[in-house]
Amino acid sequence: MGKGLFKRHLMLAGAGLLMTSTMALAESAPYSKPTQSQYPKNLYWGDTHLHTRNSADAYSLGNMNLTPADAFRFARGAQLIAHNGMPVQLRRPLDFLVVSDHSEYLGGYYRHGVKDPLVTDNEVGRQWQTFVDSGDVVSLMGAFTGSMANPEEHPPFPYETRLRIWQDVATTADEHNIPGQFTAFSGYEWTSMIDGNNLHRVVIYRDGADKVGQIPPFSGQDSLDPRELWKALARYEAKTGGEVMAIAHNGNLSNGMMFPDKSVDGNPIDLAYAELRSRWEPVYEVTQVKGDGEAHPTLSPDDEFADFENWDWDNIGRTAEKEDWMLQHEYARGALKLGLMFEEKLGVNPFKFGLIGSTDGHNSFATMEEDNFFGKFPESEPGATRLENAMAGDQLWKNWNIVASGYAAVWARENTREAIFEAMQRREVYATTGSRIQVRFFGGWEYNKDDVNRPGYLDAAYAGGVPMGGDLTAAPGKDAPRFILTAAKDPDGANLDRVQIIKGWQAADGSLKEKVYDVAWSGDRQPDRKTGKLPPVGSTVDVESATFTNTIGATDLAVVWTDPGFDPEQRAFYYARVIEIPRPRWSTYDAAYFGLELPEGINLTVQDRAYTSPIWYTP
Amino acid sequence: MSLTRLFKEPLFLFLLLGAGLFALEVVRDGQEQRTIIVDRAALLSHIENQTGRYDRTAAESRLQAMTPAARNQLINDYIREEALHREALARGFVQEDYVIRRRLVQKVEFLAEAAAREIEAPLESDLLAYFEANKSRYSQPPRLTFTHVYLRDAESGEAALLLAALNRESVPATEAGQYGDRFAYFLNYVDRDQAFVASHFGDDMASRLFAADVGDVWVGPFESPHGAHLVRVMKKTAATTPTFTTIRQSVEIEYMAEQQRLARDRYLAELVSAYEVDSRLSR
Repeated sequence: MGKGLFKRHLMLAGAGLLMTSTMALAESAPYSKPTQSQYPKNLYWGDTHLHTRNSADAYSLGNMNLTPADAFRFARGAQLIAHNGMPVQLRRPLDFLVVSDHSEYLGGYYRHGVKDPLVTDNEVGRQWQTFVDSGDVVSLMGAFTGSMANPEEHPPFPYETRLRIWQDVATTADEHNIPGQFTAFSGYEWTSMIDGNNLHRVVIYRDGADKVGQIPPFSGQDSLDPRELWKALARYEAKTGGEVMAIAHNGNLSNGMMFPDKSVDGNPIDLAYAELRSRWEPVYEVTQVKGDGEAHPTLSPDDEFADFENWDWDNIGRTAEKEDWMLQHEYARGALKLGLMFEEKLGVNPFKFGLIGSTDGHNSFATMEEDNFFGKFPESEPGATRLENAMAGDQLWKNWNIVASGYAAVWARENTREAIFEAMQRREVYATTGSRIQVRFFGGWEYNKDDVNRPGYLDAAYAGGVPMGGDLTAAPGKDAPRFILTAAKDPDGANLDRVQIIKGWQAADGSLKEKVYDVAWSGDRQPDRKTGKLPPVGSTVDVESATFTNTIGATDLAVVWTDPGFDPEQRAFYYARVIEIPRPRWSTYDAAYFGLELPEGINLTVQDRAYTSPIWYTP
Repeated sequence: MSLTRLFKEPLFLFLLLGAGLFALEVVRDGQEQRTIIVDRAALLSHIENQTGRYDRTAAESRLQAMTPAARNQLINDYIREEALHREALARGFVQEDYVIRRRLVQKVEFLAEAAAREIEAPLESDLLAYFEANKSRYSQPPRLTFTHVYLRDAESGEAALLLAALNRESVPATEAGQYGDRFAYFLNYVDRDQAFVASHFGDDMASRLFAADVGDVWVGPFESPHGAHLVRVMKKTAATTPTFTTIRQSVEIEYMAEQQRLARDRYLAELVSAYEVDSRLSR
C-alpha cells in the first residue's frame, strides 16, 4: 500500500465520522443496514439437471438403487457408496439441486421391477409383463423407444398412475427443502427427440408439492413440439397459481434444432414462438457432462479458447453426422447472435437467455470436480476401464470424452426456492465447467475506472447499471457503455489466467459479428503486437503425478472496461468468460490413480472456466 | 442420453435382464440344449443385433432383399455366434468374466429393493430414539457475522495505524466498504461457519477470527494469504443442536434411509448365511 492510498484511508475516516453523527439521529432507518440493500450478495451453487433411478436410462444402465432422496442427501454433503463400490462425497456441498428425471415412464422401470401395482396393474404394465413372460425383449424395448420418437404408438401410463408417481417426486423434494440451508426443487426432463435430435428441456418449479402435484409432468408422449411444452407450463401456472420455467438442454446434440430457424412443423419461427420461448426459457444449459456448448472453433476461428471439450460429431440418436451449418443453431454464442437477428425481424428475441451449467449425471451424483468426478452413468464411475469403454455399454461415444462439467452459480439474497428461481428469471446467474469461480459482471454508463478498486463497489455497480442478465437500452449521447468485471478464483481451486468480455452484435448491413476481448490477466504478459493475442499463461501441471501448483495466475482480477467499438445504432450483447490456469483433466487423475496409459488424442490438462449471462444493448 | 439409442443396444438389453425384468431362462436353455433352432424370428433378431437398428419392419425387408448367398452367410453367422455363446457358458466363462459377474450380483442385490420398500412408517418414539442417538449429526457449527477492511499489501505498521484511526473515529461496520482495497470475495459475512470463512481467508485467520470477541471495536490486523484485514465481529453464534420438533422431517428422512439400508443388509445377509464359509486364511 503506497502512502497516497494510506492518506485516503485517513481522509475517508474523517468522512466516516461525519456520517456517523448523521446516522445517530436517523433512527427511522433500520438498525441492520444490510436489510435495506436490495441487491443479492450471496452466491449459491447447484445443479439443475440430475437423474436418479427414476429415469429409464439411468436405471437400465445400472443405477437401480439411488433415489431422488439419495441425490438430495448427496448434494447436501452425505457420503454414499457409488455403483463401483467406492465411497463418494462432494468436497463442498451444493446449495441447491433439481432432480430432473425423464418424464416418459417416470419411475416406471424401477416400479415395474419391484412389481409396484401402480405400474403393473394397468395396460402398459400388463403389456410389459407379457413381454417379460415371453422373453420378447425387442417389443419391450420398442414400447419404450417409441415414447421418445413415435409417442402415438406408445401410450403413457394412465393419468392416475402418472399423477401419483409425480406426487411422490414432488413430496420428496419438499421433504429435502430446508429454506436458508438447502433448496430442493421439483423438476423433470421433457425428452423430445425428433429424427435423433436432442430437444430436451429441464422443467423447474418454484412451488411445493401442493401445487406441483396437481398436474403430472409434460412428456414426449404428450408432444414432441417445444411450443406445446411451453403452453403446458402456462396451463400449470393458470391452474395452480404457481411458477415454472424450462431450461433447454445443451444444444450440441440437436443437429441444428435447438436454436432453429424453423419450428418442428417446418414453418419459420414467428413472433408467437419468440414470445413463448423468451417467456419460458430465461436460462440455457451451456455446459454439461456431454460437452461444452459455449463456442465452437468453426464458428469462432479467432477465439483460441473456443475449442474446448466440444462434442460435434453427430446427434444424440447418432442418426446423422454433424454439418457446419448446424453449429450456430447449437452453440450459445451463435444462438445469442441469431437472437439479435430475430429480434430485429420479429420484434422479440427468442434466444435471450442467461447461462448456467449443470451435470446431466445419471448416477445420482452431482460430482463435477476434475479430481472427484464420478462420471455420467455407473459405467463411467472411476475405474481402470472408463478411459477405454464407451457410453451405454460400449455403443456410444468413448467415455474419455465426457466432461467434468458443470455447475449453476446464482446470485441471490437467500437460499430459498423463491430467491433462486427469481435469480434465474432475471438471469443473474452464470455457468462454470465445474469450478466455483466467483464472478460479478455489470454494464452501465456511470462507472469510473477506479470503481473496482473500492471495497464497496457493489453499491455503485448496482446503482449505476445492470448486473449480468440485464438490459441496457438508451445510450446517452454516443458514449460507449462501460462494464465492471470482477472475478475471484475458486477458493479451493486453480488460479485465474485471464478474464475476457465477448461481444456479439448485428452490423449495419445485418450481418452478425463477434469479438473476444482480453480485459484483464495475470502477470506482466503483453498482447502480441501483430496478432493482439495475449500469450498463454503457461502450465504447472505434472501429468505423471496429476498435480499442479498455483504458482502462476492470479487469485482475482478486476477491471472497468469500455467497449472500443460501440455503435449506439447496433444491437449487441456482452458476456464475460473467466479462464483458469491449466490443471490436470479428470482423465489425467484417473491415469495417475489407476496407473493407466492415456489413450491417444486425449487432452492432458484443462482450463476450467466460467461464462456469465450476457448483458444486452438494444438501441 | 438417447433413450432410443439405448434401447437398441445389446448390452442395454443385458442390463435389463440384470434389472430383473426378465428371467434368465434364455441363458439356462442355452446351457442345456445342444440344438440350435434357426427360424425366421431368430434371423430377424440377429439382423437387428448386427445393425443395431431394432426395427422389425426394416429387418424384414432386409431379410427379404437378401440374395441366397447373403442369407446363407447370415444363417451361418447366427449359428456360429449362438454356438460360441453356448460354449462360453458351458466352459464357465460367465463366472470368470468380472463384468458379467458384477451384473449378476447386481441383479440379486436388486431383490433386496423389494425388502427395502416394505419398511413401515416409523413411530414417533422410533424417530425420537434415532434423534437422541445421532444428535451430534444435527448440530450446527459455530457461526460468525463480521465485516472487514482489507489492505492488499500494507507496509508494516500501516494496518495498525488505520485500525487506530477506525476506532478513534468510531467508524461503524456499515461503512467498511469505504476503506482499504476491494477484497476478492465478500465484504460482509453473515452467519458463516468456520469452513466457509477459512475458504476465503485461510485456516489460520479463520481460527483466529472465531476466537475473537464480539464488540463495537475494530480488531486486528489479521493476516490472510490475501493481505491484512481489520475486522469488526458483530455476532457469534455458538454451536447449537436443534430440538427434535424443529428438525423432525430431516430425522425421518435419515431414519428411513437407514432402515432401508438395514433391510437390504438383512435380506442379503440372509442369502449369504445360506452358504458355509470355509476360510483357509492363515492367521
